[in-house]
Amino acid sequence: MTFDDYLARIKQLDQRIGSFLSVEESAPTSPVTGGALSDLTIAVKDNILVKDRPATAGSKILEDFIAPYDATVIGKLKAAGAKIIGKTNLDEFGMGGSTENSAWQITRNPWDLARVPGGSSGGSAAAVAAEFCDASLGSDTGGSIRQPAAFCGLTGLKPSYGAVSRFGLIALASSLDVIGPIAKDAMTVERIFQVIAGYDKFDQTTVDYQHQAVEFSPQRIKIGLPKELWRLKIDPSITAAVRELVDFFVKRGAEVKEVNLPNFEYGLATYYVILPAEAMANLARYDGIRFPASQRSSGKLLETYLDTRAMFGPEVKRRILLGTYVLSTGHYDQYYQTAVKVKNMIGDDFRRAFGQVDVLITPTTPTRPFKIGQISDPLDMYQSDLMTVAVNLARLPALTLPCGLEDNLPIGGQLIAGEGGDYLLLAMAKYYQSQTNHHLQRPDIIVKNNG
Amino acid sequence: MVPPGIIIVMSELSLTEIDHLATLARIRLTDEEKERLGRELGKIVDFYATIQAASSNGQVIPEQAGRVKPIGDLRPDELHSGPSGLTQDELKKLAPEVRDNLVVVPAVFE
Repeated sequence: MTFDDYLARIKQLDQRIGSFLSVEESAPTSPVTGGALSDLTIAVKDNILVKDRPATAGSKILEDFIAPYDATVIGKLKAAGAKIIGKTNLDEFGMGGSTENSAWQITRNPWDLARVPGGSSGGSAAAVAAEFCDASLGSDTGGSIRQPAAFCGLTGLKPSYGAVSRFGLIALASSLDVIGPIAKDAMTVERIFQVIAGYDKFDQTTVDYQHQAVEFSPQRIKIGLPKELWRLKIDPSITAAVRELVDFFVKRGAEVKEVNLPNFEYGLATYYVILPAEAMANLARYDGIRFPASQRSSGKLLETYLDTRAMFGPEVKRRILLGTYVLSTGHYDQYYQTAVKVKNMIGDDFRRAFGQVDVLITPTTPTRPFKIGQISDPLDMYQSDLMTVAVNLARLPALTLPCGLEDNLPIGGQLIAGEGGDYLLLAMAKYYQSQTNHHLQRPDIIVKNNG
Repeated sequence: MVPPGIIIVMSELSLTEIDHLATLARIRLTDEEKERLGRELGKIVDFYATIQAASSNGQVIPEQAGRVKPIGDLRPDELHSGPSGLTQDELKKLAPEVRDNLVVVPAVFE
């Protein structure tokens, strides 16, 4: 489909889905031709800066902010010929697992409009599932690429920490944030990853990661199944589909063994200490002085801070206060320091596991997409990140791919590799998708509207 | 399972604690928000207790907080232009108020 075809489809259907916050009026006038991605139309999560375009991060506090430069990943995409079609909805500053926490609109799951697309990159996932673009960029701090990709029946890569520059990404938790691609298939995900990966002098945490596609041979692979995971509360249809995913590789000669990740289950509580601590520091910059949104009618500095920061939504306020709590005197050792220790223990567990196996397979999410408005308790919403957060804490790469449908709702399987093993995950996913058709399934709304 | 006769009391953060956190974080809260956040944060802080169990389950815990191996290297400490030749004028345009080439800040002292 051409850029203009996609624009027409967005105009026709996105009012029912709500994936975009802003859309281009027309195709770019002079895109790079003959580039590695010149055939691709790409949507971008609204917390990644595209020069001269709005970047709200789903927050009222960034209303009227126009990005003054391209994020490194956007510069690389444009140089490779990719055409950016618009900015996609997200939970405010990436805080949420359903895209219900955006200040602007909710996004619906194209597979079932009464259900959430996941989050926080829910707009990016819904836009690909609704075929409004070839692929999208999301960001993943605790599962925000993988969970929505799984909920929308897509392939999504959370790269190794440091493999992709975050320069121009509106920061949530800097020790965990990473940008990655979402598409229908691993081939497209890999093409985009190849372009955006690599060292960037504007992001001190990047490494010189040069992606090389490799051949995959199942006979040479050892798959690990974390024993502790299957004890957790997981939807049985998801467990069954992920077992089939494992069997696919075993039938073709892969070796499979159980491994121990004894601290995996503590990942969630650990994450919800570390994330608010970092987020509250990152969000201190929204003070009514440096960005356009400012409530300064009082004429006083403290009042300007308070009046401006009242624009944050409920989940953001909650996490700012939690971050303040865990870093305050008397709680710092008890919570923050303990969480950092447990984070290190989780990393050590993974390192031991990858001494025995090449890749781990788990479900991506404990449940299938839930209904809009179904989860109101914040702690229940955090459970949605159960399978994904530990990977961020350990800085590892992980990929989600569709591996089944139950009641016409997609199921995702998660492949996890050791640090820098992004190439292995992509090779494995391409191999799987070359022999199966889960990634080719389309939601009814698209089939009915477009044939 | 909770043994019979044991009652689990969910923590709740007091209004004083919430007020203190809000002051530190420069967040103004309505009375309704304070009451709700007191309950919600109490539940989340209870949930944090699980990591205390993890950190004391007999394993040797590395002490230092960071333990992050250095990656990349520090660039030389010299001026260089930002991406896409971003100018001061372009950055100043983002501020809500600019006067005489300076970003205007409301009075700190009354």
